[in-house]
Amino acid sequence: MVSRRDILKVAGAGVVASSVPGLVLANAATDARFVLVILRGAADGLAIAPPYGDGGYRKVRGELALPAPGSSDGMFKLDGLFGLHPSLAEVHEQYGKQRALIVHAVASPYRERSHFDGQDVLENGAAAVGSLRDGWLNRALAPLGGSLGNEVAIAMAQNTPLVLRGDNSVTSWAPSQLPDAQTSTLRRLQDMYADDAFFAIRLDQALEAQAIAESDGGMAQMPRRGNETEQMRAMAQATARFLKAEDGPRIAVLEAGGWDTHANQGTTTGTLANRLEGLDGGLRTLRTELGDTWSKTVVAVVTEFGRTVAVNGTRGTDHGTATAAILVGGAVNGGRIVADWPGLRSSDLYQNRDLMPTTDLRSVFKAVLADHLALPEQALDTVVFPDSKSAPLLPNIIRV
Amino acid sequence: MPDDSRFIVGALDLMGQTPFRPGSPAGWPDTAEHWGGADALYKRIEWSNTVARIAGPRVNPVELGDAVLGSTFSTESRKAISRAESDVQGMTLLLASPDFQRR
Repeated sequence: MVSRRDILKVAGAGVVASSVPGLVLANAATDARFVLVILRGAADGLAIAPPYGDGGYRKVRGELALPAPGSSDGMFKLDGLFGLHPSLAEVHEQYGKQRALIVHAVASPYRERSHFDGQDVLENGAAAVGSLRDGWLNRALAPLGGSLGNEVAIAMAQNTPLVLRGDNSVTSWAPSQLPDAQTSTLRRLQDMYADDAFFAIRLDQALEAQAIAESDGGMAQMPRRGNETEQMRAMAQATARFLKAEDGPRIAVLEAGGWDTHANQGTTTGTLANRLEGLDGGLRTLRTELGDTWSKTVVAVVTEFGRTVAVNGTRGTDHGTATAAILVGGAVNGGRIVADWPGLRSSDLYQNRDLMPTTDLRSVFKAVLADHLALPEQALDTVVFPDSKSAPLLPNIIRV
Repeated sequence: MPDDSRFIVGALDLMGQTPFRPGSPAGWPDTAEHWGGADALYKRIEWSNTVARIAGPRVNPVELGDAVLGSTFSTESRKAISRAESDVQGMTLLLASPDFQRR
Protein backbone atom coordinates (compact mmCIF):
# COMPACT_ATOMS: atom_id res chain seq x y z
CA MET A 1 0.00 0.00 0.00
CA VAL A 2 1.24 3.45 -0.87
CA SER A 3 1.54 5.59 2.24
CA ARG A 4 0.64 9.24 2.41
CA ARG A 5 4.28 10.00 3.06
CA ASP A 6 5.21 8.42 -0.28
CA ILE A 7 2.87 10.57 -2.28
CA LEU A 8 3.87 13.64 -0.35
CA LYS A 9 7.49 13.03 -1.28
CA VAL A 10 6.52 12.51 -4.91
CA ALA A 11 4.16 15.47 -4.97
CA GLY A 12 6.69 17.68 -3.22
CA ALA A 13 9.49 16.57 -5.52
CA GLY A 14 7.30 17.37 -8.51
CA VAL A 15 6.75 20.91 -7.33
CA VAL A 16 10.44 21.44 -6.64
CA ALA A 17 11.57 19.89 -9.93
CA SER A 18 9.16 21.99 -11.95
CA SER A 19 10.85 25.15 -10.73
CA VAL A 20 13.90 24.72 -13.00
CA PRO A 21 16.45 22.35 -11.43
CA GLY A 22 19.84 23.93 -10.93
CA LEU A 23 18.48 27.42 -10.96
CA VAL A 24 16.47 26.98 -7.81
CA LEU A 25 19.13 28.46 -5.54
CA ALA A 26 19.61 31.46 -7.75
CA ASN A 27 15.92 32.10 -7.33
CA ALA A 28 16.36 33.49 -3.84
CA ALA A 29 18.59 36.55 -3.92
CA THR A 30 20.07 35.76 -0.54
CA ASP A 31 21.65 32.84 1.24
CA ALA A 32 21.12 34.50 4.63
CA ARG A 33 18.46 33.12 6.97
CA PHE A 34 16.12 35.18 9.11
CA VAL A 35 13.73 33.92 11.78
CA LEU A 36 11.21 36.31 13.28
CA VAL A 37 9.74 35.14 16.59
CA ILE A 38 6.67 37.09 17.68
CA LEU A 39 5.83 36.88 21.39
CA ARG A 40 2.10 37.63 21.48
CA GLY A 41 0.67 39.22 24.61
CA ALA A 42 3.34 41.84 25.44
CA ALA A 43 6.45 40.31 27.01
CA ASP A 44 8.01 42.08 29.97
CA GLY A 45 11.35 43.55 28.91
CA LEU A 46 12.23 44.42 32.50
CA ALA A 47 12.09 40.70 33.33
CA ILE A 48 13.88 39.57 30.15
CA ALA A 49 16.82 41.93 30.71
CA PRO A 50 16.48 43.50 34.16
CA PRO A 51 18.46 46.74 34.70
CA TYR A 52 19.79 45.56 38.05
CA GLY A 53 22.39 48.34 38.07
CA ASP A 54 19.73 51.06 37.89
CA GLY A 55 19.27 52.39 41.41
CA GLY A 56 15.49 52.41 40.96
CA TYR A 57 15.15 48.80 39.79
CA ARG A 58 14.65 46.97 43.08
CA LYS A 59 12.31 49.65 44.40
CA VAL A 60 10.00 49.88 41.37
CA ARG A 61 9.94 46.14 40.72
CA GLY A 62 9.27 45.21 44.35
CA GLU A 63 8.38 41.55 44.69
CA LEU A 64 8.97 40.92 40.98
CA ALA A 65 12.62 42.05 41.16
CA LEU A 66 14.98 39.21 40.27
CA PRO A 67 17.90 38.27 42.55
CA ALA A 68 21.10 40.07 41.58
CA PRO A 69 23.83 38.38 39.48
CA GLY A 70 25.97 36.09 41.57
CA SER A 71 23.33 35.36 44.18
CA SER A 72 21.56 32.03 44.37
CA ASP A 73 19.08 31.72 41.44
CA GLY A 74 20.30 35.14 40.41
CA MET A 75 20.02 36.61 36.94
CA PHE A 76 22.89 36.30 34.47
CA LYS A 77 25.15 39.33 34.33
CA LEU A 78 25.37 41.04 30.92
CA ASP A 79 27.20 44.21 31.95
CA GLY A 80 27.32 46.62 34.88
CA LEU A 81 23.75 47.80 34.27
CA PHE A 82 21.85 44.87 32.75
CA GLY A 83 21.27 41.25 33.61
CA LEU A 84 19.42 38.46 31.80
CA HIS A 85 16.58 36.32 33.15
CA PRO A 86 18.00 33.06 34.56
CA SER A 87 15.72 31.01 32.27
CA LEU A 88 17.55 32.37 29.22
CA ALA A 89 20.66 30.15 29.47
CA GLU A 90 21.04 29.71 25.72
CA VAL A 91 20.77 33.44 25.05
CA HIS A 92 23.37 34.02 27.76
CA GLU A 93 25.71 31.44 26.25
CA GLN A 94 25.41 33.06 22.82
CA TYR A 95 25.89 36.50 24.41
CA GLY A 96 29.20 35.23 25.75
CA LYS A 97 30.15 34.18 22.21
CA GLN A 98 29.20 37.62 20.86
CA ARG A 99 26.30 35.99 19.01
CA ALA A 100 23.42 37.47 21.01
CA LEU A 101 22.42 41.08 21.44
CA ILE A 102 19.72 42.75 23.50
CA VAL A 103 18.06 45.94 22.30
CA HIS A 104 16.44 47.61 25.30
CA ALA A 105 13.88 50.39 25.76
CA VAL A 106 12.63 49.51 22.29
CA ALA A 107 9.09 49.88 20.96
CA SER A 108 7.10 50.02 17.75
CA PRO A 109 5.52 53.42 16.94
CA TYR A 110 2.33 52.26 18.69
CA ARG A 111 1.63 54.16 21.94
CA GLU A 112 -1.69 52.79 23.19
CA ARG A 113 -2.29 49.59 25.11
CA SER A 114 -4.40 47.25 22.97
CA HIS A 115 -2.80 43.91 22.07
CA PHE A 116 -4.69 43.75 18.78
CA ASP A 117 -3.71 47.21 17.59
CA GLY A 118 -0.20 46.80 18.99
CA GLN A 119 0.34 43.57 17.07
CA ASP A 120 -1.13 45.19 13.96
CA VAL A 121 1.44 47.98 14.07
CA LEU A 122 4.27 45.57 14.94
CA GLU A 123 3.37 43.48 11.92
CA ASN A 124 2.16 45.89 9.26
CA GLY A 125 5.13 48.21 9.78
CA ALA A 126 2.97 51.34 9.66
CA ALA A 127 3.54 54.47 11.70
CA ALA A 128 -0.02 54.32 13.05
CA VAL A 129 -2.90 51.93 13.66
CA GLY A 130 -5.05 50.67 10.80
CA SER A 131 -3.24 52.19 7.86
CA LEU A 132 -1.85 49.07 6.16
CA ARG A 133 -3.49 45.72 5.47
CA ASP A 134 -0.34 43.79 4.58
CA GLY A 135 2.83 42.98 6.54
CA TRP A 136 6.26 44.62 6.39
CA LEU A 137 8.05 41.30 5.97
CA ASN A 138 5.83 40.46 3.01
CA ARG A 139 6.59 43.81 1.39
CA ALA A 140 10.28 43.13 1.94
CA LEU A 141 10.09 39.88 -0.04
CA ALA A 142 9.85 41.41 -3.52
CA PRO A 143 13.61 42.01 -4.02
CA LEU A 144 14.40 38.53 -2.65
CA GLY A 145 13.11 36.87 -5.78
CA GLY A 146 10.76 34.19 -4.52
CA SER A 147 7.92 32.96 -6.68
CA LEU A 148 4.72 31.01 -6.47
CA GLY A 149 5.59 27.44 -5.51
CA ASN A 150 9.13 28.51 -4.61
CA GLU A 151 8.49 30.84 -1.69
CA VAL A 152 11.24 32.69 0.19
CA ALA A 153 9.22 32.85 3.41
CA ILE A 154 7.28 30.40 5.51
CA ALA A 155 4.83 30.99 8.36
CA MET A 156 5.20 28.28 10.99
CA ALA A 157 1.47 28.52 11.69
CA GLN A 158 -1.79 27.30 10.26
CA ASN A 159 -2.74 30.77 9.14
CA THR A 160 -0.27 33.30 7.88
CA PRO A 161 0.26 36.09 10.46
CA LEU A 162 -0.21 39.69 9.29
CA VAL A 163 3.54 40.33 9.12
CA LEU A 164 3.78 37.88 6.19
CA ARG A 165 0.45 38.63 4.51
CA GLY A 166 0.37 40.53 1.24
CA ASP A 167 1.00 40.40 -2.50
CA ASN A 168 4.11 38.23 -2.36
CA SER A 169 3.50 34.50 -2.17
CA VAL A 170 4.45 32.86 1.13
CA THR A 171 3.89 29.35 2.35
CA SER A 172 2.90 27.98 5.74
CA TRP A 173 3.25 24.83 7.76
CA ALA A 174 2.05 23.57 11.12
CA PRO A 175 2.05 20.12 12.66
CA SER A 176 -0.92 17.92 11.96
CA GLN A 177 -3.02 16.58 14.78
CA LEU A 178 -5.64 14.83 12.68
CA PRO A 179 -5.48 11.40 11.04
CA ASP A 180 -3.74 11.33 7.67
CA ALA A 181 -5.82 11.79 4.55
CA GLN A 182 -5.53 8.90 2.13
CA THR A 183 -3.01 9.20 -0.66
CA SER A 184 -5.60 8.57 -3.33
CA THR A 185 -7.88 11.19 -1.80
CA LEU A 186 -5.10 13.77 -2.01
CA ARG A 187 -4.50 12.89 -5.65
CA ARG A 188 -8.19 13.27 -6.42
CA LEU A 189 -8.27 16.59 -4.61
CA GLN A 190 -5.38 17.79 -6.77
CA ASP A 191 -7.42 16.82 -9.83
CA MET A 192 -10.57 18.44 -8.50
CA TYR A 193 -8.67 21.66 -7.69
CA ALA A 194 -6.93 21.77 -11.09
CA ASP A 195 -9.24 24.47 -12.47
CA ASP A 196 -9.29 26.51 -9.27
CA ALA A 197 -5.97 28.29 -8.91
CA PHE A 198 -6.61 29.45 -5.34
CA PHE A 199 -7.08 25.91 -4.03
CA ALA A 200 -4.64 24.23 -6.42
CA ILE A 201 -1.70 26.44 -5.46
CA ARG A 202 -2.35 26.15 -1.74
CA LEU A 203 -2.63 22.38 -1.83
CA ASP A 204 0.65 22.17 -3.76
CA GLN A 205 2.31 24.48 -1.24
CA ALA A 206 1.02 22.39 1.64
CA LEU A 207 2.17 19.11 0.08
CA GLU A 208 5.60 20.52 -0.62
CA ALA A 209 5.89 21.76 2.95
CA GLN A 210 4.84 18.32 4.24
CA ALA A 211 7.47 16.70 2.06
CA ILE A 212 10.22 18.84 3.58
CA ALA A 213 8.93 18.43 7.12
CA GLU A 214 8.76 14.67 6.72
CA SER A 215 12.12 14.28 5.01
CA ASP A 216 15.09 12.83 6.88
CA GLY A 217 13.01 10.10 8.46
CA GLY A 218 10.15 12.35 9.40
CA MET A 219 9.38 14.48 12.40
CA ALA A 220 8.43 13.24 15.77
CA GLN A 221 4.73 13.48 16.49
CA MET A 222 4.11 17.04 17.60
CA PRO A 223 3.16 17.19 21.26
CA ARG A 224 -0.38 18.34 21.91
CA ARG A 225 -1.33 21.15 24.22
CA GLY A 226 0.10 21.39 27.70
CA ASN A 227 3.83 21.21 27.34
CA GLU A 228 4.69 24.48 25.64
CA THR A 229 8.41 23.93 26.08
CA GLU A 230 8.21 20.73 24.07
CA GLN A 231 5.99 22.37 21.47
CA MET A 232 8.38 25.27 21.04
CA ARG A 233 11.27 22.86 20.66
CA ALA A 234 9.38 20.83 18.07
CA MET A 235 8.45 23.96 16.12
CA ALA A 236 12.08 25.12 16.20
CA GLN A 237 13.17 21.74 14.88
CA ALA A 238 10.68 21.94 12.03
CA THR A 239 11.78 25.51 11.27
CA ALA A 240 15.39 24.36 11.03
CA ARG A 241 14.41 21.65 8.56
CA PHE A 242 12.81 24.20 6.27
CA LEU A 243 15.68 26.68 6.50
CA LYS A 244 18.30 24.01 5.91
CA ALA A 245 16.62 22.66 2.78
CA GLU A 246 18.73 23.74 -0.19
CA ASP A 247 15.79 25.08 -2.14
CA GLY A 248 13.64 25.83 0.90
CA PRO A 249 12.59 29.17 2.36
CA ARG A 250 15.12 31.66 3.76
CA ILE A 251 12.77 33.39 6.16
CA ALA A 252 10.51 31.87 8.81
CA VAL A 253 8.03 33.41 11.22
CA LEU A 254 7.18 31.71 14.52
CA GLU A 255 4.67 32.79 17.10
CA ALA A 256 4.40 32.08 20.81
CA GLY A 257 1.54 33.14 23.07
CA GLY A 258 1.07 33.45 26.80
CA TRP A 259 3.09 36.59 27.59
CA ASP A 260 0.23 38.67 28.99
CA THR A 261 1.25 38.28 32.63
CA HIS A 262 -1.35 40.36 34.51
CA ALA A 263 -1.38 38.00 37.48
CA ASN A 264 1.28 35.90 39.24
CA GLN A 265 3.99 36.70 36.74
CA GLY A 266 6.62 35.04 38.94
CA THR A 267 10.34 35.73 39.14
CA THR A 268 13.03 33.06 38.75
CA THR A 269 10.22 30.52 38.58
CA GLY A 270 6.57 30.85 37.64
CA THR A 271 4.50 31.71 34.57
CA LEU A 272 6.90 34.04 32.82
CA ALA A 273 9.97 31.97 33.72
CA ASN A 274 8.31 28.93 32.10
CA ARG A 275 7.57 30.88 28.92
CA LEU A 276 11.15 32.16 28.78
CA GLU A 277 12.49 28.66 29.35
CA GLY A 278 10.37 27.41 26.44
CA LEU A 279 11.62 30.21 24.23
CA ASP A 280 15.22 29.62 25.25
CA GLY A 281 14.93 25.88 24.56
CA GLY A 282 13.46 26.68 21.15
CA LEU A 283 16.40 28.95 20.35
CA ARG A 284 18.86 26.28 21.44
CA THR A 285 17.14 23.67 19.28
CA LEU A 286 17.13 26.03 16.33
CA ARG A 287 20.89 26.56 16.66
CA THR A 288 21.80 22.90 17.06
CA GLU A 289 19.43 21.74 14.30
CA LEU A 290 20.58 24.40 11.85
CA GLY A 291 24.18 23.21 12.13
CA ASP A 292 26.41 25.10 9.67
CA THR A 293 23.46 27.21 8.54
CA TRP A 294 23.41 28.87 11.97
CA SER A 295 26.39 31.00 10.94
CA LYS A 296 24.19 32.69 8.29
CA THR A 297 21.23 33.10 10.63
CA VAL A 298 19.69 35.99 12.52
CA VAL A 299 16.79 35.36 14.89
CA ALA A 300 14.82 38.36 16.14
CA VAL A 301 12.55 37.86 19.14
CA VAL A 302 10.03 40.70 19.45
CA THR A 303 6.73 41.53 21.13
CA GLU A 304 4.00 44.15 20.54
CA PHE A 305 4.83 46.31 23.58
CA GLY A 306 6.19 46.07 27.10
CA ARG A 307 4.62 46.05 30.53
CA THR A 308 4.24 48.54 33.36
CA VAL A 309 7.32 49.27 35.42
CA ALA A 310 5.36 48.90 38.66
CA VAL A 311 3.84 45.65 39.91
CA ASN A 312 0.01 45.57 39.98
CA GLY A 313 -2.28 44.29 42.75
CA THR A 314 -2.24 40.71 41.44
CA ARG A 315 1.55 40.17 41.41
CA GLY A 316 1.68 40.87 37.72
CA THR A 317 2.24 43.76 35.37
CA ASP A 318 -0.12 45.56 33.01
CA HIS A 319 0.19 46.72 29.41
CA GLY A 320 3.11 49.09 29.00
CA THR A 321 5.22 50.61 26.24
CA ALA A 322 8.95 49.99 25.75
CA THR A 323 10.40 46.50 26.19
CA ALA A 324 13.43 44.44 25.16
CA ALA A 325 14.13 42.61 21.89
CA ILE A 326 16.55 39.70 21.54
CA LEU A 327 18.73 39.15 18.49
CA VAL A 328 20.59 35.86 18.38
CA GLY A 329 22.36 33.96 15.62
CA GLY A 330 25.70 33.31 13.99
CA ALA A 331 25.38 36.49 11.94
CA VAL A 332 24.60 38.73 14.94
CA ASN A 333 27.28 41.15 16.06
CA GLY A 334 26.46 40.50 19.69
CA GLY A 335 27.86 40.36 23.17
CA ARG A 336 26.39 43.71 24.10
CA ILE A 337 23.25 45.59 25.04
CA VAL A 338 22.10 48.32 22.68
CA ALA A 339 20.17 50.80 24.79
CA ASP A 340 19.84 54.51 25.23
CA TRP A 341 18.68 53.79 28.77
CA PRO A 342 15.93 56.21 29.81
CA GLY A 343 15.97 55.40 33.55
CA LEU A 344 13.29 54.27 35.98
CA ARG A 345 12.49 57.40 38.04
CA SER A 346 8.85 58.35 37.61
CA SER A 347 9.88 61.45 35.68
CA ASP A 348 11.83 59.17 33.30
CA LEU A 349 8.79 57.05 32.47
CA TYR A 350 6.32 57.28 29.63
CA GLN A 351 3.07 58.65 31.11
CA ASN A 352 4.65 58.12 34.55
CA ARG A 353 4.18 54.37 34.30
CA ASP A 354 5.98 52.71 31.36
CA LEU A 355 9.57 52.33 30.30
CA MET A 356 10.20 55.21 27.85
CA PRO A 357 10.93 54.02 24.30
CA THR A 358 14.28 55.33 23.06
CA THR A 359 14.80 53.00 20.09
CA ASP A 360 12.25 52.28 17.34
CA LEU A 361 11.77 48.58 16.63
CA ARG A 362 11.66 49.44 12.92
CA SER A 363 15.32 50.53 13.22
CA VAL A 364 16.16 46.97 14.28
CA PHE A 365 14.13 45.40 11.46
CA LYS A 366 15.72 47.76 8.93
CA ALA A 367 19.19 46.65 10.03
CA VAL A 368 18.26 42.98 9.59
CA LEU A 369 16.71 43.60 6.17
CA ALA A 370 19.54 45.78 4.83
CA ASP A 371 22.67 44.46 6.52
CA HIS A 372 21.66 40.79 6.71
CA LEU A 373 19.22 40.12 3.86
CA ALA A 374 20.87 42.78 1.64
CA LEU A 375 17.69 44.65 0.78
CA PRO A 376 18.21 48.03 -0.88
CA GLU A 377 18.05 50.63 1.88
CA GLN A 378 15.92 53.01 -0.07
CA ALA A 379 13.09 50.45 -0.30
CA LEU A 380 13.05 50.28 3.49
CA ASP A 381 12.02 53.89 4.03
CA THR A 382 9.33 53.81 1.37
CA VAL A 383 7.79 50.42 0.64
CA VAL A 384 8.63 48.32 3.69
CA PHE A 385 8.27 50.94 6.45
CA PRO A 386 6.42 53.99 5.14
CA ASP A 387 6.84 57.17 7.19
CA SER A 388 9.84 55.78 9.04
CA LYS A 389 12.48 58.47 8.51
CA SER A 390 12.44 59.02 12.27
CA ALA A 391 13.61 55.41 12.67
CA PRO A 392 17.01 55.15 10.97
CA LEU A 393 18.69 51.78 10.53
CA LEU A 394 20.45 50.63 13.71
CA PRO A 395 24.09 50.21 12.67
CA ASN A 396 26.60 47.46 13.53
CA ILE A 397 24.20 44.84 14.86
CA ILE A 398 24.91 42.41 12.00
CA ARG A 399 28.34 40.83 11.36
CA VAL A 400 30.00 41.77 8.10
CA MET B 1 -22.98 17.07 24.61
CA PRO B 2 -19.59 18.22 25.89
CA ASP B 3 -17.68 15.75 23.68
CA ASP B 4 -19.28 17.05 20.50
CA SER B 5 -18.61 20.66 21.35
CA ARG B 6 -15.00 19.84 22.20
CA PHE B 7 -14.61 18.16 18.83
CA ILE B 8 -16.01 21.19 17.01
CA VAL B 9 -13.97 23.72 18.97
CA GLY B 10 -10.86 21.57 18.54
CA ALA B 11 -11.41 21.34 14.79
CA LEU B 12 -11.94 25.09 14.42
CA ASP B 13 -8.82 25.67 16.51
CA LEU B 14 -6.80 23.40 14.20
CA MET B 15 -8.08 25.26 11.18
CA GLY B 16 -6.76 28.44 12.70
CA GLN B 17 -9.87 30.23 13.95
CA THR B 18 -10.64 29.31 17.55
CA PRO B 19 -14.23 30.30 18.42
CA PHE B 20 -14.47 33.50 20.48
CA ARG B 21 -10.71 33.99 20.36
CA PRO B 22 -9.99 36.02 17.24
CA GLY B 23 -6.79 38.04 17.04
CA SER B 24 -8.85 41.19 16.83
CA PRO B 25 -12.01 42.64 18.40
CA ALA B 26 -13.49 42.83 14.89
CA GLY B 27 -13.82 39.04 15.00
CA TRP B 28 -12.49 36.53 12.50
CA PRO B 29 -12.24 38.09 9.05
CA ASP B 30 -14.14 36.24 6.30
CA THR B 31 -11.84 36.97 3.39
CA ALA B 32 -10.09 34.00 1.79
CA GLU B 33 -6.68 35.53 2.49
CA HIS B 34 -7.28 35.03 6.19
CA TRP B 35 -8.69 31.52 6.27
CA GLY B 36 -7.01 30.16 3.19
CA GLY B 37 -3.32 29.74 4.04
CA ALA B 38 -1.69 26.66 2.53
CA ASP B 39 -1.51 24.88 5.84
CA ALA B 40 -5.01 25.94 6.85
CA LEU B 41 -6.31 24.37 3.65
CA TYR B 42 -4.45 21.18 4.45
CA LYS B 43 -5.97 21.11 7.93
CA ARG B 44 -9.39 21.57 6.33
CA ILE B 45 -8.74 18.58 4.14
CA GLU B 46 -7.75 16.52 7.16
CA TRP B 47 -10.84 17.72 8.98
CA SER B 48 -12.98 16.78 5.95
CA ASN B 49 -11.40 13.36 6.02
CA THR B 50 -12.09 12.98 9.73
CA VAL B 51 -15.73 13.98 9.41
CA ALA B 52 -16.13 11.79 6.34
CA ARG B 53 -14.89 8.78 8.27
CA ILE B 54 -17.59 9.35 10.85
CA ALA B 55 -20.48 10.35 8.60
CA GLY B 56 -19.42 9.13 5.15
CA PRO B 57 -20.76 5.60 5.21
CA ARG B 58 -24.26 6.82 5.99
CA VAL B 59 -24.55 9.51 3.32
CA ASN B 60 -24.44 9.59 -0.46
CA PRO B 61 -22.02 12.47 -1.08
CA VAL B 62 -23.44 13.41 -4.51
CA GLU B 63 -26.98 13.64 -3.16
CA LEU B 64 -25.74 15.60 -0.16
CA GLY B 65 -23.86 17.95 -2.47
CA ASP B 66 -26.95 18.53 -4.59
CA ALA B 67 -28.97 19.20 -1.46
CA VAL B 68 -26.62 21.65 0.27
CA LEU B 69 -24.93 23.33 -2.69
CA GLY B 70 -27.75 23.35 -5.26
CA SER B 71 -26.83 25.51 -8.22
CA THR B 72 -23.43 26.39 -6.71
CA PHE B 73 -22.35 22.74 -7.03
CA SER B 74 -19.95 22.86 -9.99
CA THR B 75 -19.94 20.19 -12.68
CA GLU B 76 -16.25 19.46 -12.04
CA SER B 77 -16.67 18.89 -8.31
CA ARG B 78 -19.84 16.84 -8.83
CA LYS B 79 -18.03 14.66 -11.37
CA ALA B 80 -14.98 14.19 -9.11
CA ILE B 81 -17.18 13.22 -6.18
CA SER B 82 -19.34 10.82 -8.18
CA ARG B 83 -16.15 9.03 -9.27
CA ALA B 84 -14.81 8.66 -5.71
CA GLU B 85 -13.66 5.20 -4.79
CA SER B 86 -15.77 5.11 -1.66
CA ASP B 87 -18.50 7.02 0.11
CA VAL B 88 -15.94 8.16 2.67
CA GLN B 89 -13.63 9.49 -0.02
CA GLY B 90 -16.56 11.12 -1.83
CA MET B 91 -17.58 12.82 1.40
CA THR B 92 -14.01 14.07 1.95
CA LEU B 93 -13.95 15.46 -1.57
CA LEU B 94 -17.32 17.13 -1.07
CA LEU B 95 -16.34 18.79 2.21
CA ALA B 96 -12.95 19.86 0.80
CA SER B 97 -14.34 20.98 -2.56
CA PRO B 98 -13.89 24.65 -3.46
CA ASP B 99 -17.69 24.89 -3.73
CA PHE B 100 -18.28 23.70 -0.17
CA GLN B 101 -15.29 25.55 1.29
CA ARG B 102 -16.42 28.85 -0.23
CA ARG B 103 -20.05 28.44 0.75
